[in-house]
Amino acid sequence: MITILVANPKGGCGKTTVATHLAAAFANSGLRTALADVDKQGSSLGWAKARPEGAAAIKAIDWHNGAEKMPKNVDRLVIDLPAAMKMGKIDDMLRLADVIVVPVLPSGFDVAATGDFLKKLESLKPIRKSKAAVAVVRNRVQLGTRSAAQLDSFMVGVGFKGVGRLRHRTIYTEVAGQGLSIFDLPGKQYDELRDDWAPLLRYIENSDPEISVLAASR
Amino acid sequence: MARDVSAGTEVELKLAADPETLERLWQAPPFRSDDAATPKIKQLENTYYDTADLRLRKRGLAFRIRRDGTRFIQTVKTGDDTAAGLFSRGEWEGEVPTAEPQLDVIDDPEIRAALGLILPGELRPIFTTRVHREVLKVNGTDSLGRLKVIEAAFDRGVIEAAGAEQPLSEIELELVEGTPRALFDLALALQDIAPTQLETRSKSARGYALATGRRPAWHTAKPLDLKPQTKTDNALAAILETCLLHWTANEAAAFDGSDPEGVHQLRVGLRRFRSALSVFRELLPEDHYTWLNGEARWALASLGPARDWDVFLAELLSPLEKERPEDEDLAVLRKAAERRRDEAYDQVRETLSDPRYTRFLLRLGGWLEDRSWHCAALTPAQAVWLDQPLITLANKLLTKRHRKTLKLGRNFDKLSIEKRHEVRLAVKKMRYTTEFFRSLYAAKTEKPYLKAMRGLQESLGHLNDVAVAETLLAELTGPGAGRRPAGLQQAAGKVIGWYAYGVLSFEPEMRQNWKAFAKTDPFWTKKLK
Repeated sequence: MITILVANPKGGCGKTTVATHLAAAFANSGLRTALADVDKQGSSLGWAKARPEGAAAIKAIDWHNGAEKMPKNVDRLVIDLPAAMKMGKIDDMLRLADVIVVPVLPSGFDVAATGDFLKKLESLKPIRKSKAAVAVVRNRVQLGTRSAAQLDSFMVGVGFKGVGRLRHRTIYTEVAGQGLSIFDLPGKQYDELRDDWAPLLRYIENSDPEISVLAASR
Repeated sequence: MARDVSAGTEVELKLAADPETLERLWQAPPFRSDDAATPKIKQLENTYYDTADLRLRKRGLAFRIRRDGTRFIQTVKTGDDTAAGLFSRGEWEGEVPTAEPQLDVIDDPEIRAALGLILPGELRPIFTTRVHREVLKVNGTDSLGRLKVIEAAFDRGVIEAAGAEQPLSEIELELVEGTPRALFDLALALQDIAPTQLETRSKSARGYALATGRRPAWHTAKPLDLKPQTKTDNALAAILETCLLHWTANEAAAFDGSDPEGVHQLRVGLRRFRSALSVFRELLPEDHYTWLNGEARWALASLGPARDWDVFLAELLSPLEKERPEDEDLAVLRKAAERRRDEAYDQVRETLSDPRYTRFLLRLGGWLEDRSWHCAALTPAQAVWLDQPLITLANKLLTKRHRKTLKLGRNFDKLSIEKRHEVRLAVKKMRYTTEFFRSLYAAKTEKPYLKAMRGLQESLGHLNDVAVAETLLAELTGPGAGRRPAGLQQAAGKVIGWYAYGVLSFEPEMRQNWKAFAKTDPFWTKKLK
């Protein structure tokens, strides 16, 4: 199993969009997938409940009281962390994670807050499960704009590997209300948007602890 | 190694040989008996798929589509990793309409989970094997009279990847019915007709090697998971098998020779095997011990010079060269030593290709599969010991070896170099013994002891490296060494002098390490001392 933690103390950077989309990508790929919501507001839970019958199954887990027992027979567990969370409480979640996905918006304000968060993550390295990988993903990017370029220089500066960028599109908000994702939509129309996610998904797949066990034996 | 033929698990052995040998074996009696069915001939074309970042390979999977006439068979094999097992693999197989990979049809959730997320169109062909296969069925009984049915596939063809091509010529023996022992027996019988080599790498492992151009990787030992209550008999089988898998997994890297770690790990595997034999010696029939130990010792000795020259070049000559970069004598010595190392690696390749080595592996494999130590020669006392929980034996042996080490090292400061070598060997034995048994005890309590032992072993090991270097240099410069280029004697003198002084200055640390070890409490008992 790969446990993916979607986290950033900065609100509104698209954590729930990223978490639900990752879960839907895994589920649509035939993997047994669970989505755990740690947020009291329960946006991810609500999304999972609204999911129509016939869509690839995602097991929704309510963790707003903290991580309870780990789900069984699950291949991918995506954890959606709330924005306002004390660093101490995040520790417990960090211990579970194989990959930490940090969405960041291209605004100067967001970039600074995320930088602080990444520094804290770095200082917490020893407690992270097998030094879980950190993937910074740029969200709601308008290609070719000045803020997109700023974000690029920020990514180089923080020393964390940026793993792809997700373009800004209204379709994300449109499907969210129906408990769907762009991975659930048929047709080639959204292939380009889906491609945006490929680097992040590949990065997560390569962070599989089973892969590192095998790699270590080589 | 699987004990029985169950659904989804293949039990097979592969024997590699040149096409002429294959032809001779094809005509041989085991395949020419009256009950042998007429051979089936197939042209096989297998294309292996993976993602660009080779995630399936990293997960130890092989994903292939076989073209069989107009049909396409898709197969996913798990555990396709040389260190995972010599002879068995899990798999999923099903027919697909075209040569395009189909993920939806894989109905086994475990296999699906093993594949992980695959993006649309992400799987692409990595390499293709084209094989002319002739299959014969061998019916009969094995050496103990049990029924057996074996399918023998004679494969000749090529592996193609990225414009490169490699010939392929081997016999695949697959167990249809019976015990795995039957496979080893048949392979040994073939060995009497014409020599072959046990091929431990799968076709896919070779294909990936060709496609990526990577040198064969070396492997460390798989950790053992033994419990205090594990029956000694099961522990014995598990330990010896782990050793066997460890060293055979390193054959390719040792044969290749570009990374010293290959031969090193192969030798570590063999040495641990000998250690395990000595741990269990009293529980085995004496002639079994003598045979296994003798073969392992032979292989170790044949691979020794390669390791000695590797250590000499990397750990003794290199540091000196760094201190004296302009020294021309050292350059002469390096050239001479490298030539010796190359010769030693020729010897490695000869040993691994030696019929004696193949025979050793095959006999050992059959012996392990059948737990052949349970024979008429096993005494009732041995049988009782084998039935005991492992912890009983572990406590007894650890105490015995700990005491022996302490005894040999008494008055350590005054011991001669020869005596210290005896201490070194005792510590090494102790080290392997603790490694076999460490999962029986709480990791926390073991730490101080293991740390002290490692420290001591390192300083004593250095002593040994220097002693070996003196022997090697004597060989290089002594009579019978042939033409000795100018500067060689001088260089040898410099190396010996340098390290003689090094050992002297190292003395206080070594004494300190001994003292630290001697006063560290054992972790397996409180009563000792």
